[in-house]
Amino acid sequence: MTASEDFFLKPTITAVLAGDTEAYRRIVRQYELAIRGFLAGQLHHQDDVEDLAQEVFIAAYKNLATFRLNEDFVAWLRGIARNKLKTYFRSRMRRDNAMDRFRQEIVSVLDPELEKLAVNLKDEKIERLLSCISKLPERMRRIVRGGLERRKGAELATELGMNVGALYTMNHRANKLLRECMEQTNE
Amino acid sequence: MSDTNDFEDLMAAWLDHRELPAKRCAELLQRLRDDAEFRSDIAAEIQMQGLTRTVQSGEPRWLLLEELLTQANAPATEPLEDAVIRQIKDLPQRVFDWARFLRIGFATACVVLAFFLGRSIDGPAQVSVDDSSEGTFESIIPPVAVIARTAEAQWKNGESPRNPGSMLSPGRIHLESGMAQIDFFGGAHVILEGPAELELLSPGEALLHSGSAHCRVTEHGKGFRLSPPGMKVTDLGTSFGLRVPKQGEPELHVLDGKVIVETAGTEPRELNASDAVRLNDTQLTAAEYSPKLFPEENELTRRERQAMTTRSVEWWDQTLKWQHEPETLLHYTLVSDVYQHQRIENHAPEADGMSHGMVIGGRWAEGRWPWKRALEFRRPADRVLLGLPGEYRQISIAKWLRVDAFTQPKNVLLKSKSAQRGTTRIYADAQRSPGQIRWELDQDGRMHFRIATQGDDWANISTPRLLNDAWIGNWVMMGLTFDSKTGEAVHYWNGQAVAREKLDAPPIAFEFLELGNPHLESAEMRRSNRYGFFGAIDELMISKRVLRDAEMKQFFEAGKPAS
Repeated sequence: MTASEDFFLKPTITAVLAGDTEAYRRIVRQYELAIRGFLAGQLHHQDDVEDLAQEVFIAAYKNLATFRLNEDFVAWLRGIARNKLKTYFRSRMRRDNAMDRFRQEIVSVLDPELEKLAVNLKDEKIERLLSCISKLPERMRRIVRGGLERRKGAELATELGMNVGALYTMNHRANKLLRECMEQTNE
Repeated sequence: MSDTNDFEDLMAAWLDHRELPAKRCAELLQRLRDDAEFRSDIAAEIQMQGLTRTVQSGEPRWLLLEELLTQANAPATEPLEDAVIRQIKDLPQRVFDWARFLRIGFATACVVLAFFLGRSIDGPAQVSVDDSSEGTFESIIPPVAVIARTAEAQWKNGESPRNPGSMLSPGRIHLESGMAQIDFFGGAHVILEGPAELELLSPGEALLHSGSAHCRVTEHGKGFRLSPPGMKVTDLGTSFGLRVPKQGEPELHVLDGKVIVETAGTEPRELNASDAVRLNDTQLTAAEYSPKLFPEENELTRRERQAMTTRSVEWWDQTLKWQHEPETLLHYTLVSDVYQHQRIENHAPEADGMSHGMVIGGRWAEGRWPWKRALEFRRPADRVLLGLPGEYRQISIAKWLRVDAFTQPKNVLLKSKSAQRGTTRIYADAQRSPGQIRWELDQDGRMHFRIATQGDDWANISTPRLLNDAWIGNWVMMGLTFDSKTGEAVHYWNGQAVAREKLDAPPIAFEFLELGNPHLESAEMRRSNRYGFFGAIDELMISKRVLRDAEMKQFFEAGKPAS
C-alpha cells in the first residue's frame, strides 16, 4: 500500500465499516478505473464491463470486513473481479454461440499473461492513455476511433483506402505506440 | 509481430469482425497454447482494446477523448459510483464487526504504543487526540464517535477542531463551556454540558471524568457504557444522566428504562427509571431523583438555533460591507443563487457578466447556515468558470470551503488561465503567461500559491501542513494576499497569517478562472498531474487591494460557523 493509499484507504475503510455507506463512494471512485480496465481487457462484450464492475464493488463492500488493511487493495479487488469473470463466463456458456465460446477460450488461455499485464498497470498509466491517443498519427487515430465506434475492419479499411490485413497491422502498431507512450513518466 | 495471418484472424474474431470455422478456431487456440510470444502479443492487444474503451466510457474527464477523436459524446449513463451506492443502500444494514474493529484498534494501539515508547519512557504511553500537529498517527487511529451538534461550545485550547462532523478517536476531550452532542458509533448519543471531561475508549464505552452528561442509548447500542471513575454503568437501551463533580461524589440518575451498575465494592445491580444513586467511596447510596440536573436535547436545540442566528447575522453584516467596497472585484455569497440557472451571482459593486460564475456539474448543499447554500463538488467534472479580465498589482482572496476527502494529490482552490479570446476557451491549450496563478491545496494539507513569471518559472509560497484529518468535513477559511510592488505574499488559515514571503513576480492577470476541478492542459496530463476537489465552497471574495492581517481575522471571525 502506498503512502497516499494509506492516507486515504484506512480511514475510508474504517468509516465504511462503521456504517458510513457514502464513504464507500470514495473507494469506488478511486479504484473504478483500475477495475474497469482489468475487466475490459478480458471481456469481448464491452457492454458487460459496467455491470461486472458494479458487481465487483458490491461484492467488495459486502466482504470489506475480510480485507486486511496492510494488503494490496487493488489486488484484492482484482481477485474479486476474477471470480466474477469466472461466474460470468459460466453463466454465458449455454446461451453463447461458438464464436463466443472461442473468445472465452482465448481469455482462459491468456489468463496468466492478462494478470501479469494488469499487475503492472497503474492508474496513472491508464490516465496517460488519453493524451497518448491524441498524439497518434492521424491515420492511426482514425483506426482507434473506428474501433471505439465498433466498426467492422473491412468497412474501415475501405474507408481508409487500405486492405484489411494492413488495417489490423496498423492497429497493432498503434497499440504498441500507445503502450510505449503510457510507460513514459514524463514528457 | 507473430505470424500475421494468425494474428489478424484471432483479433478479427475477438473484435467480432469475422466468424471462423471451428477448425480454424482450434488451430488458433493451439498456437496460443504453444507459442509464448503469440500469447504475449495477443494479450497485450486485447488489453489495449479494452483500455481504450475504458477511458472512453469512464468518468466525465474522459469526455475529452471524444473531443480529441472528434466524435459525438457517448450516451449518458449512471456513474458507476452512484449505481454502486444506490445498490448497497438497498442491502441489509451492515452489522458492525466489533471483532474486526477491535483487531484494528488493537493493532493501531500497538503501533502508537511502540511509537510513544520509542520516543520517551518518561510518560505514560497513551493515545492522544490532542496531538494533531503532525497527524502522522491520527489518520490510522479509527474514530469511535462523531460530534453531531454543538451550541456555544468552547473546547480546551490546543485541542483539535471540534465542530459538528468532527470524528473523534479514542482519547480525552475537554468541553470548557456550552453543550455538545457526541454520537458513538456503537449506537449511543451523549449530550455533554461544559465544563466536562470525557474519555472515549471505544465505539461502545466512555468515561466521564467530570461534568454532566445525558446518555441516550438506542436499540443498536444496548450494552453501551458511560461510567464515572470507580463505577461501571451499562445501559440496557434507555437513557440516564451522569454527574461527576470535580470534587464530590458521582451521581447516576436513570431517566428511562434500566441500567446495570457495579462498583469495586458492590455486586452488579439493576436500576430502573427514576432510581438515583450516589457513589460514596466504593459503596452506592440512594440519592434524590432529579432529572433536571442533566443536559436536555431540547435545550441543546434551542441554544444551537440561537447561536446560529447570532453568527449568521454577524456574517451578513460583513458581506454587506464587502459588497459596498469599490475594491471588491468578486463576492460569491451563495445566498440567493438558483441551481437551475447554473450561475453564481457576483455581488461586487461593479460586477460584469463574465464575473458571474458558470456552474458546471456540482450540486447545491446546505452552507454554513441552514438558510444559506454551498456548492458541492463531487465529480471530476464539477467546476465553476468565471472571468476577471485585467491586471492587478494587489490582490486578496478569502474563501470559505469544506474539504470532505482527499481523493487526488491536488485540490485547486483557484486557477487562472489566459486562453486567447476567440478560440475555444475551455479546451484551448493556452500558453502560460506571466501573472497567471495557481492556488492549490495538496493532499498533505499544505497550501501553495504560485504566480507565473517571465520565462518558464513560477514564484511560489507554501504553508506548513494545515488541513489534517480533524478538519475534514469542517468549514475552514483560507486566504491569500499578494502585493506586486513589495512582492509580499501571505497565506491565511482561519484568519491567521501562516506563511509570509517576498516573491519576485509580476502583477496578477486572472483572465479566466476555475474553481473546483480544473481543465487540464495536455502538458499537465502528460505529466500525470491529478487534481480533484471533493468538498464544498461556501463563499469567495476577491479584492484588488491587500487586506491587512486584522481584516482577514475579521473575515474569519464574522464568518466562522456557530460552535
